[in-house]
Amino acid sequence: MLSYLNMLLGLLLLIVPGYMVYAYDRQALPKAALAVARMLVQLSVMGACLWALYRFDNIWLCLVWLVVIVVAATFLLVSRTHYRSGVLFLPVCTAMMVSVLAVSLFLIFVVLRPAASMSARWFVPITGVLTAHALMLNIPALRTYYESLRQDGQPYLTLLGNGASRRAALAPYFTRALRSMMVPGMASLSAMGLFVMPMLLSGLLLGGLGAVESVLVFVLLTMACMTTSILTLVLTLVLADRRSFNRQGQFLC
Amino acid sequence: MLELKDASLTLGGRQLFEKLSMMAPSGQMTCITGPEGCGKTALVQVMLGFLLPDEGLVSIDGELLTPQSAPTFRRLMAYLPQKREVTITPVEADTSGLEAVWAPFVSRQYELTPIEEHLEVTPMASKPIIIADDPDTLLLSALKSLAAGGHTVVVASRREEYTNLSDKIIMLGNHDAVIS
Repeated sequence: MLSYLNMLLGLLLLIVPGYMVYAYDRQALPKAALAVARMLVQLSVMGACLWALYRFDNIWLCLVWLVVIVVAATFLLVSRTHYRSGVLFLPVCTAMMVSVLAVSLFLIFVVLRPAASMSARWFVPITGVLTAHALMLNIPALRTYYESLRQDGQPYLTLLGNGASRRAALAPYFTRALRSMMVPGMASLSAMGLFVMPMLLSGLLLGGLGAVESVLVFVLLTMACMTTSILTLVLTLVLADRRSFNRQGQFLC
Repeated sequence: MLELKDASLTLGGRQLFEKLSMMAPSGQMTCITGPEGCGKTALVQVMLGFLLPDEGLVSIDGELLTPQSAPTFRRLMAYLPQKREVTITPVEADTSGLEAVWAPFVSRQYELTPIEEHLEVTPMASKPIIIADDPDTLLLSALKSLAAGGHTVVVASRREEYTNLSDKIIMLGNHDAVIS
């Protein structure tokens, strides 16, 4: 268990990057200091929340926590997608909530059973990692989808005009969105474990899981992240569809 | 036969046409013409069901074109859109495919997958209604042959080649349409 003194000693590690920034890029010092301060404050708040979640270990409290992180992730995702936030907010929030909940419950009740249980110990980290990945992967995907429809909508109308269904006419855009979601992930997947140990795997090992178990759980979580992200994308597009297109099928920029 | 009855359309606060009634019969090439910005493309979009007229009706073979029925009617149509960046190659009427039309829409900017992957390329000749928005003059003979073969061909164009050879001309501008 880390004591406060240990933590303070750990903060001494900041001396090296701090000195370098001070010596070679003094202009960046306020920004760097602000970033570190923000990180410490945010992690302190999160630490307090996690402490409470683990202390009370109540499933309803865990669900409230999930709602909070999903809503926060939705705000971030919607703001970075650069499409009408009024249209996207509810679909993204619902899609992410349903996907994260469905996949995490499947992991806890089916895949990781009997080791896992419906407790804060399993629910909080699993939903946290799934939400984070769904957020990161859906930013480029949703941005690509709406941006390409806005800037290059003629193929969509051409397909519709020639009798394609809306689903078929939107397929090229969905393919592109899916690609922008999957390609960076695939590149890192293929190099995973070869040159660097993923942070998540290190976390599992530090958390006390054995080496083999850690790798297995890590593989499961990686696959679950991909599934959650794709589910979130598909559900978001389905739920946002009615308000992104008018009755005649025209895209509403 | 494609028909508009008393159709009016206002876009962006500007009235493009008012009480327009026209017929594009089978076996003829109908040309919608007029100065730039007069609403040729908007009229094409009304015929395709992408835009709803503020008032009036659009019908195909006597059946009303509505947001609900439009997808079904569009299966009877071949639509050649306006924005084409690549020069298209001429195609013979009896063997004309849409390949030449599709090619420009393999967008490089967004790396969209080729459209052929998403829609079976259907020969234009198999569709009874052909709607072409500002087609290249290279397509003129093919479109004319399709009209002669019994198809309903509607062309939106300012090019003289099209206005000279069309069986019917709808001139848009100043809210009124002149039909000749």
